[in-house]
Amino acid sequence: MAQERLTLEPEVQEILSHIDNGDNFLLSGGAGSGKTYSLVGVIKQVISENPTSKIACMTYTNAAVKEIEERVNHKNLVVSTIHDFLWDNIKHFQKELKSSLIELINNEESKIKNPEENPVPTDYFDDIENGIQYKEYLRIKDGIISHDEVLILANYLFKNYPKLCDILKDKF
Amino acid sequence: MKITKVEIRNYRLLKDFSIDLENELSLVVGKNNCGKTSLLSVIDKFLNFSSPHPFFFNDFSLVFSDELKEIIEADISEDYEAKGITLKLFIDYDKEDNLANISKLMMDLEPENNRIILLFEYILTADNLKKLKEDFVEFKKDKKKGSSFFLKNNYQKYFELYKKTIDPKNEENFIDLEKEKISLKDVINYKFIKANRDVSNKDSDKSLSSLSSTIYEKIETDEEHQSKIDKFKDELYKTDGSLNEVYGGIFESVIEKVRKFGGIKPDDTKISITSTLQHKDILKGNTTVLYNHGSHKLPENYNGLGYMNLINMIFEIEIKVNEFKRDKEKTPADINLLFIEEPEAHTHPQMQYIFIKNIKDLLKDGIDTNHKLQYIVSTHSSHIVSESDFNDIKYLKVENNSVIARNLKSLEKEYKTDGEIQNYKFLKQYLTFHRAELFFADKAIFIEGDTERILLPAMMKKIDQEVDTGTPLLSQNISIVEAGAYSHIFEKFIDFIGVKSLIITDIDSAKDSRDKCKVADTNAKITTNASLKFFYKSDELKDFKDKNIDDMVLIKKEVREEGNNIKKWLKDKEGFLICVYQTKEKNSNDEEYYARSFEDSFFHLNRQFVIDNKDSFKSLKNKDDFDDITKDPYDLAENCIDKKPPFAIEILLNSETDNTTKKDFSNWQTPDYIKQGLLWLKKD
Repeated sequence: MAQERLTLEPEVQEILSHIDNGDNFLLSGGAGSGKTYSLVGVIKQVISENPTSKIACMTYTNAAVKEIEERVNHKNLVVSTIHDFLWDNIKHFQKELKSSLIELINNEESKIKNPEENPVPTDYFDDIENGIQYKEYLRIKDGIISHDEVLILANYLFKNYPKLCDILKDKF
Repeated sequence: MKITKVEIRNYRLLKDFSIDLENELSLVVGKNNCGKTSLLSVIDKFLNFSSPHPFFFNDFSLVFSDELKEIIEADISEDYEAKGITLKLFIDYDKEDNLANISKLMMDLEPENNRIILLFEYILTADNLKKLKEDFVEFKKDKKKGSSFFLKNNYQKYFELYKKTIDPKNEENFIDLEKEKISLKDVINYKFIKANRDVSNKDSDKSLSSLSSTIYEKIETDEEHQSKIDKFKDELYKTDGSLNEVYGGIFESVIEKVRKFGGIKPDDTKISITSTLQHKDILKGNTTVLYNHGSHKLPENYNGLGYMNLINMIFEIEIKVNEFKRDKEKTPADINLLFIEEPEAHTHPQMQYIFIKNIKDLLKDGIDTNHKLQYIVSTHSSHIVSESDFNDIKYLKVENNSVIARNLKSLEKEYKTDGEIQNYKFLKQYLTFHRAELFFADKAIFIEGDTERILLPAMMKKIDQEVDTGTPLLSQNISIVEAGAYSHIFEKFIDFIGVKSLIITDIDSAKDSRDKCKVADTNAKITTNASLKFFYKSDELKDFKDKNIDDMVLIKKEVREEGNNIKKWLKDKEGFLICVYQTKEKNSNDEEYYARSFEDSFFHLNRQFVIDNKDSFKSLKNKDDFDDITKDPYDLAENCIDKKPPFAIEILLNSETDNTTKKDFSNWQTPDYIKQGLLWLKKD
C-alpha cells in the first residue's frame, strides 16, 4: 500500500505536488542541506505510488550514484551519471554512432578532432573490432571516445534521430 | 506492436514454412498432421525454454536429418553455411507503440524502418561441423554403427542455440542477444492452451475446482482485488478463532494424555492444537465448482464433458490473461501471444459456434488499455470455420512433404484481379454456411444436383464392393458439394486448398444454333456446359467426345502469356482435377449409345431394371414407352421423367442385395463416366 503522503517532510510533499501537476522544478540548497535526502524520499514515494513506472536519476559523480542506489535499491530505478545515462541510450546504435562521429570529426566547428587523419573517409570505422566505445581515455582511431565526446555525440544524435527521443520518452 | 509473420525452417513437418498473423485472431485450419501443433511447440521451445538444447533429434525435419547424414559422410565443402532449426519473428511497430523495450533490438534509427526481425537458431556452425566430422571418423573406427546412430546420440555436442535480431535490409547484420545480455521477456510473452486439456468426467475429477485456487494465487497480489482478498483473510482469521474452541473439545483427551506424561516441570508438555487456515490451501481441494441445473446445484463432474471443456477453457484463458499481467512491479510485455489449440475438443457443433463467436469478445479487451492480445486458434472444426471471419483464416496444407500456409485473404485478391469478386462473395457465403468441411476434406466431388447427391453414396459403395484394392471410397474423407452448373466458380478455391476434385457434369451437346440435341446427332457440334467450356477452354464437341479419362486431368499452372504470368488450368496426367461427362457405352444387350444426361445414360444401361420394377417407379410418366423398342434412352429421359429427386430415390428403393455375392445395389449399373471418375478419385 502506498504510504500516506501526509507523514512525509513538507518539502517532499511540495515536490510531489509539482510532479502531480507535471511541472518541472528546481530544488536548490547549500552543501549538506539535505537535497539528496529529499530526493531519496521523493523517489521512494513515487515508486510506492507507481510500482510499474521506471525512474531515471542523474547525478554528477559515480560516488553519488552509489549513494542513491544504496538508499533506494529498486529495480525500476536507474541511477547514473549524465555521461553514462546518455551513453546507455545511444550505445546500441553503432551504425548511427559511426556515421555521426565521422560527420562530427569532419565538421570544422565541432570540438571532436582526429589527430591521426583529417578529414576521415566515411568507412573509417568500418573495421574496428568492438565498435565505438566509451572509456576513460580518448583514442579516436580505435573508435574510443571519452567524457566530453559522449556529450557532443549524444547531442548530435538526439538532434538528428527523432526516434531516439521517442525511445527515451517511452523508457521513463 | 504486432508479430506479422512467422517463418520456420527444418522443424518437424515445417521444412520451409511461413505464416502471416493478423492483428487479433489468426485462425489456423487444416487437416490432421499438417503442422499445427509443431507451430505451437517451436515458438514455445525457442521463446520459453531456458535449456541450451531445447530440441530432440526427432525435431529435425526428415529432409534435414537426411541432409545432415549426407554432409557428415561427404568431404568438407568450403561453402558450407550453418544449418539447423530456425525461427524468425517479424515484428512491426508504429509511432504509437512504446519503444523502450524494443529499442535494444533495433538495428538502426531510420524513421521509415518500423520492423524488427528476431532470429532464433539451433544450428550446426562450420566450425562445429569440422569437429563433428573428426569425431565421427574416430567413432567409426571402434564401432560399426552408422552416421544416424552417431548423430542421434551426439548432436547436442555440435548444435548451438543463437538468438539474434537481424537487419531487415541485410540479414548478415545482426546483434547477438545472448552476448549483449538482451532479454526478450519484456518484448514477447508467449503462452498456450494445449488440446489435451485436463478434463474427463471421472467421479473424482475436480480440475475446474483446482483451477479456482490457481486463479486465486494469481490475483492475490493484485491491487484491485485487495479489498476482497482482505475480507477473505479476515473471514479465515475469525474461523480460526471459533475452530480453536472446537478443537479444544475434540482433542481434549489427547492433550490430557500428553500432559500426563509430563516433563520436569508440570506444564512442560502441555500442548494445544490451533487452527491455522492457509488462504491458498483452503481453495485447493476444498472448493467445488457447482453448476445450476434447474433448481439444483450439481458438482462439476456431473457436467457433460463438452461443458466442462468450455468452462475449463474460460478458466484457463482467465489464468493466462492474469499471467500476461505479470508482477505488480512490471508492465505486461509489448507483445502478448496466446495460442489456443483445438478449442472444439469434446464439444458439440452448437457449442463450437458459441465458442468462436464469444472468444473474440472475451479477448478483445486484452490485458489492459495499452496491451492487447494477439492470439492464434488452431482447429479442425468446420463449425468453427463457418462461424469465423474469412479473413482471419490461415489454411495449412501439406505439399511435397512440407507444410505451407496460405491466407484466405489472398484468395479474395485472386478473384478480384480476375474481376470475379461476385464469385468470391458467393463462395464465401456458400462455404461458411454449407460446406466449411471442404477445408478439411482429402478429396471433393462437385455435382450438379439432387440426383447425383442421392445416388452417389450408393454408387461409391458399389465401387467399393467391386474393387478391392486401395482405400474404399466411403472410408476416405470425401466432401460432396452441390454446385449446380457453377462448379467453375470454385476453381480458384480448389486450386487454393489443392484438394483432389472430381467434377461430375453433363456433356450438354447442342447444334451450332445452341439447340440441344443427341450427342450422336450429325449436327451436334458444341457443348453448352459452362464448366466444361471453362476448364478445357473449348466448346467444340469433338474436343470432348471419345477421350481417354487420363487425358482430361488438369492442373493449375503459371504460364507466361503476352508478357504476363497468369495461372491457367492445363492438361497434365499428374493433375488433381477432372471433369467427367457422359461417354459412349455398351449395355448388356451390346447396344452402343452415347448419352447426353445422367437419366438417359441410366436408362440405356438399366432399361430392364425399370421395366421389372415399373409399378414401384411411381414418379415416372408414360411408363409404356420403356417397352416400346422404337424409343431410345434419350426419348425416355425426355418423356418419362417427371421430377428428378423422386426418381433417384426410387432407384434406391428398388435396389436389391445379391444373395450369393452379398453385393448391394446389384440390380442396376452405374454409368461408366461416373464409375471412371470415381475410380480416378479413389487413387491416391
